[in-house]
Amino acid sequence: MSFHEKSSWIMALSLLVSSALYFFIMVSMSGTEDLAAPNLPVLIVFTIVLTVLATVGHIIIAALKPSEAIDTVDEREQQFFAKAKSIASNVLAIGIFISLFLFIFSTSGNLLFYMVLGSLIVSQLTEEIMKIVFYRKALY
Amino acid sequence: MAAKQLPVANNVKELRESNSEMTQTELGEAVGVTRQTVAAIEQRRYAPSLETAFRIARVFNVGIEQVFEWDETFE
Repeated sequence: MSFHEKSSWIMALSLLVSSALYFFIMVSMSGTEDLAAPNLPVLIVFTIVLTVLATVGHIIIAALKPSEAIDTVDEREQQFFAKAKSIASNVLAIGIFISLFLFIFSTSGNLLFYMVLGSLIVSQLTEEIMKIVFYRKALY
Repeated sequence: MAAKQLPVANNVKELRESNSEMTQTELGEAVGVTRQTVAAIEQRRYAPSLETAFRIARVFNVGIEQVFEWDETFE
């Protein structure tokens, strides 16, 4: 497994753990009928947890095999990345479209915020997962 | 699930083995790709760019047609 594939695993897992934590906190802060308003301190905690997990993960994989850590992205990996980014962009566009569509009917600004944030997270997660899929079974 | 093979066949593995048992990592470093990409080329799961194909041929001091060829039996 190349360094960049390990990196994608770390990013995907870090994103999954930190966003699960974020949404768990926000759901527990919400009432039975109303969504809790976006909370800046919780968002900052989410960002810090994500950054720490990703940084520690990358330090560990770099320390385990330092020779691979300096590998540049080669032509095959560039194709994986471009294809993964393209799919993730489509996921983000669909997520934003659904968010705006729901906003028309609910007019809840809180819901719009969470839907857009969720779309960003799902899009980023899709990009990392697609990279792993392409690494596992090659592109084309 | 086995990955689909591409129509461009190659002799990279044979050339590598006949050149002092060169490893995939060594060939990758010589042409600027990862070991995984060399493995993918050998298994016909990835067709390299024209530049990389020429670089591989130059490493073995042969013409590009001696490294890569179209598989006429490919469907």
